[in-house]
Amino acid sequence: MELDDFKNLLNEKFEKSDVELGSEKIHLSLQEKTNSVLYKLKKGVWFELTSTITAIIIFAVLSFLLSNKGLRIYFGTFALVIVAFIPVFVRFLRMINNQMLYVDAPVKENLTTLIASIKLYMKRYKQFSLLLIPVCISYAFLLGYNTDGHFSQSYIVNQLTNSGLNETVIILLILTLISVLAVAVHYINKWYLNLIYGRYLSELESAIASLNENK
Amino acid sequence: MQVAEKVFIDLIQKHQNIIHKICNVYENDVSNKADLYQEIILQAWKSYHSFKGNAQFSTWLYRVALNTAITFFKQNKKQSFIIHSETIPDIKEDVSATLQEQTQAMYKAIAQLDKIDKALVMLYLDNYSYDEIGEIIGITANYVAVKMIRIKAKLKESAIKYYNHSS
Repeated sequence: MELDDFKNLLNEKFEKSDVELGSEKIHLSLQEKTNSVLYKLKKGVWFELTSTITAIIIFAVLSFLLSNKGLRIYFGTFALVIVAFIPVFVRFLRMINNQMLYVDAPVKENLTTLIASIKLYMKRYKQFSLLLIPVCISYAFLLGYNTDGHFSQSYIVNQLTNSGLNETVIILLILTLISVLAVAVHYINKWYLNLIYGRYLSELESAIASLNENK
Repeated sequence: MQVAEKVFIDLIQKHQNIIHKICNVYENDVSNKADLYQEIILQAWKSYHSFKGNAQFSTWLYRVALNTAITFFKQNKKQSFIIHSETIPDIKEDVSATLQEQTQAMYKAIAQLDKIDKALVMLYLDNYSYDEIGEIIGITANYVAVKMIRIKAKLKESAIKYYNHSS
């Protein structure tokens, strides 16, 4: 049988279903929550936004409560630094809301915008996480030189030197620690984003690939 | 219930066959089908204000429903390629058993297509012209024609395979 024979065979029964919905059920359906990927993306951004605000509050409180001056400055500054993330998340939320209104666009256009939004979110997520590592480390070093007690640079270096390690080994150890941390953050982010959006994104990409006329 | 909502519900009731068809073709699992149905209605309602009435409601609804079905993705649930009996619509009672089997083989073949090819088949079966299909999907009519030739050949081959397998 060919598709055209099949088409000729179909009658209105094809269009019927045993789950014909009445107006009341459709009305109730309109009150439900959507489950689309954009909604999940929006939930994700809301989660990031609330986490950021929570972190700002915790860091701000710590900057007042901690006895160590270095740590107070550290947390206080970070509370201010991550405030800059808020407008970015708000912009993302606006972008997703606009995209949500795009569902009656042609399929190819809708897919293109959806893929672009997900990729942009993933890219920014990775950039933000990686950006914070050098900032944190440089700041930790800077404060370490300007503070006393157990968190001071001299105290830590003394402890390491007393353990019998020479300077080169200590520097190498610190550099290795920083590299391992950066690589770990990169891969944890990659794994996390891939877990949430990876399979979905590759499915969307293969759908758009089949719409590419130059194929 | 507001006037706009009432008008929308009436339109959906009148055209819910489109949603049923898309759910039947895109989802095999009964609960996924219900979820997709729900999602299409919601997405249609959310973007209903953008429906200006210069296109037919059925064409507009097709676009919303296809966009929702193509991007609908249930995690942690492997897509089953087994067609459940309830997804196969009844064909006229007077058709022969052989024809019934051939029709079922064609349904199975359609179920194996990728999401975009399914969309093209759905619109083709609903008598949309290549120009209209191109407009809904966002590709040229020429490319729709090219894709339809490939899809028809693929379906013919798969339907024969399924038919031989079943008989």
